[in-house]
Amino acid sequence: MLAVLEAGPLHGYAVIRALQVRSDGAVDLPTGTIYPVLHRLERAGLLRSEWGSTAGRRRRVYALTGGGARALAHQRRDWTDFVAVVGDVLAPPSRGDHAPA
Amino acid sequence: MPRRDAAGLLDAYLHEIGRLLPGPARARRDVVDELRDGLLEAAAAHRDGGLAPHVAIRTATARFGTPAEVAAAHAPELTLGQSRRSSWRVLGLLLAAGLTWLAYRHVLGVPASVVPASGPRRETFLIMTSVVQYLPLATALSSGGLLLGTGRLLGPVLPDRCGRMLACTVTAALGAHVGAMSTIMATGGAELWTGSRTVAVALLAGLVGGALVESMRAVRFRFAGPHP
Repeated sequence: MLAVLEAGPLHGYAVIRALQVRSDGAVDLPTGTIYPVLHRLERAGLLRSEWGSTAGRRRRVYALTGGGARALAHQRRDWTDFVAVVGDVLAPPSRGDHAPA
Repeated sequence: MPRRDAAGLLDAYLHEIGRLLPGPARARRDVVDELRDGLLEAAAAHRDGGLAPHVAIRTATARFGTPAEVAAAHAPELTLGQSRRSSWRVLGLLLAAGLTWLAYRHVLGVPASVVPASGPRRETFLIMTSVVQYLPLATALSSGGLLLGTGRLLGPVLPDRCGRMLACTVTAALGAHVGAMSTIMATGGAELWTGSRTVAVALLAGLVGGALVESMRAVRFRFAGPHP
């Protein structure tokens, strides 16, 4: 969720759609249960929200905070390290590899 | 007519979620308004895909989850939010009561005639005076614990049972505080009810009573969960 808000503020449903599009449909939770996660991230100080209006109805728009941007960078780095380590472990052995004595 | 059917379906779905949500009316209205906006966006996308308006709304609500699922997902955050607001209000009212008490003592003073001269009435008055002096500390500590336990962390630090226990402790302490103040007012000398003292005592009672009402609201929401 932090990653999809990196480009700019979005309303709740736009966040959900962005998650579905980015994951090519793999993230497909009941849509109405994703809003509380946005609220938790806001309480954690990683997002901030503002109410506005569109087409005569109220709309809540979320944006990444400085803390959210730092948390995203940290999680991205951790994930990249994790993928690199697991990739090394799972990679098929090359010719030069030797079993330990 | 299909337009009205679609609006009716949406309203019925949101009304049911609003009915199931715990918490104060304003917080529930915010949740329902946000869901309405999302559902209308989703339905518009389905309509662009060729669905009829009422089918688009039906499809959108189906993907959002049942009202019970949506309400259950929102309940913890609503309860935490209410708990934090109540804790801040209780602390604010206690602080105001403390400042009022200090002003009372320093500006108006406490004449000896306020304290009953002897007997059980005097003992009761003195015990209740001690209760009123020390209980706010317990209340403030419990409220502070609730604030720390529901702070800027992804999940509540405190297990729900501890949060409920602290909320009940705050309410019990404030109830005892109100009881002690009532006893002091009933047993104190006539001097307690003269001029400015009456106003100050009434203000103190109002502030502590307000804190008690607020903490009772928090306890009610904590134990309510999603309405059945």
